[in-house]
Amino acid sequence: MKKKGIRVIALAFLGLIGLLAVAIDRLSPYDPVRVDYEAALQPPSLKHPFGTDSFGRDLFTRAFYGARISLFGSALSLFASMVLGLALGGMAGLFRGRLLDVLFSFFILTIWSIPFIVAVLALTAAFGRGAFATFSALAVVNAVLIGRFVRGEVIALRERDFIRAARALGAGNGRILIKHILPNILPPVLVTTVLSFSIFIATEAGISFLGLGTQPPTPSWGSMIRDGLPYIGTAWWISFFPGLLLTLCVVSAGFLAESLGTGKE
Amino acid sequence: MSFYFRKTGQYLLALFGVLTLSFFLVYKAPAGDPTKTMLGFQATEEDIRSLRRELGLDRPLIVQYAIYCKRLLTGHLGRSFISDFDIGRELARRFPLTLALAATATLIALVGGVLLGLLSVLYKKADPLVAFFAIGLGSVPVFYLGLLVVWFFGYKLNLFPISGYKGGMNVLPPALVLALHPMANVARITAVELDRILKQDYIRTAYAMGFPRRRVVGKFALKNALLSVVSSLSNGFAMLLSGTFFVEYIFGWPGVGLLAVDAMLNYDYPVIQSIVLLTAVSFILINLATDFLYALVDPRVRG
Repeated sequence: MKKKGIRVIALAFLGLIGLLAVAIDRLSPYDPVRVDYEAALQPPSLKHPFGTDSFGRDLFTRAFYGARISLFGSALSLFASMVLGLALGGMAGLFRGRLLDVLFSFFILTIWSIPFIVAVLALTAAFGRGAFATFSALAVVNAVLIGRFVRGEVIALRERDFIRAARALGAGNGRILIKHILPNILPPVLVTTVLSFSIFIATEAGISFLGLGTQPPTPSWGSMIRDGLPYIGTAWWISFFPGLLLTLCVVSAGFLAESLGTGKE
Repeated sequence: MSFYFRKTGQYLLALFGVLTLSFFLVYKAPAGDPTKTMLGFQATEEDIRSLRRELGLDRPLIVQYAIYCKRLLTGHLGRSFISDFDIGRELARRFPLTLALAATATLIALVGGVLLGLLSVLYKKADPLVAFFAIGLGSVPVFYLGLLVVWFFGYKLNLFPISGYKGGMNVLPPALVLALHPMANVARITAVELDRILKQDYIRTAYAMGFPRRRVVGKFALKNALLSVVSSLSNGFAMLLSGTFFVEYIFGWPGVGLLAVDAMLNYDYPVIQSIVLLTAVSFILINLATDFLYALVDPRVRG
């Protein structure tokens, strides 16, 4: 019962942020990127709930434009990584021992031996930089981790009677993978994917904070926190509010995933 | 014995994978052609061609790969594209600083985490507090946390110099920030394990023999709980390694992490490559050590 309460609160909070992110261009009179030096570095007030940054941009407006990249970008790349992971892991499992599987297993072993964020950072640097590079890197690394799990599950399922029966009836690899194996492995994969949501949000923010992710003047939570770095002693609000939103979203997503994960058991 | 050989072989293979991956990192990178960064905008076609020849970039892929492997195996990490320093020497200079930070953080995380876990089991009143600490602070992104610490303790309270390495106790603020995530992890594992172990028969026996609760939990149960803490060490080390990039950047700590961030911002690919390799090697060594340690303690693993 208590678990359910936490889940509702977390979901409501994420939904509220998402809604504000969608509606921010209707709600706010300010432009997220236009510079207005007259209004620079104003502390939080009724006019500017989160204050303004060194370019005089309204931080409340920017924070919710930033939520679009942070939340929707993360969700999108998370989905892509799930599809990619299912496809790669499924193929590797089905063609166990063949060249494709050997190559993929080698790749898994490699990614597995580097800490997550180091792998994502290195790939982001290899893809160039910016939000798209960051989300692509996140999707690839996470797809490998999901693929590892999927491969193991497929190998376990492959020898089960119902798969052999389907094969005896003349079903091809594609049909077996989609009609018979997928429904069996989708629930645990979905749970792992939801669990990774908070990691995606935090990692994208971290990479943008270092200056490699979302590039100025486009706002994302990480890059906004970075913007406030030179003003940390004088204008604390620049970094404070985006960071607060980020933290609350990470915590909510974490709680949500945790309640889902334990609810399944 | 075969267990140890198999594990070592597996990790060697992983190392080879990282080697290959980081080669392609440079080779395939869109901005990977270093000649533009090195020569600037005014470079002529002729300049670029001669620099490419000098760096061996005009050779076929497989030859470049062979040269790269040979160079690494003989211990040469190459030179920076941007500042032309010797990467091996630079890393040797900076690594001890990162190590000092990581070691201090590990100590704080282990001692603090075990104490917190113990506290939450011994005094039920402290439980929500510890849970808040472990889940709440454990999910604050480390760079935001670092920023808040710099703002509040550095600027508001003036407790420590804002940035840079000035020796001595200076390591404490960044190490504390770095330690928080692993500490929350250790606290959670200790508490969960203690709860599980306290339900076992030998604990009831200890109570029946008249040992006080503090002794039973702190001595008999804790010893077994620590085993799980040790096995989570590799996970904790990954957290530490990831944290160093952010913490060193925020506190201006001139270690490997700060070098990595600078290199990535400047597209200095040989430096990025070397740091990925260094990170992977240390991570693999830690994992190997954890596996071996665990196999020594628990023979069932070896089977």
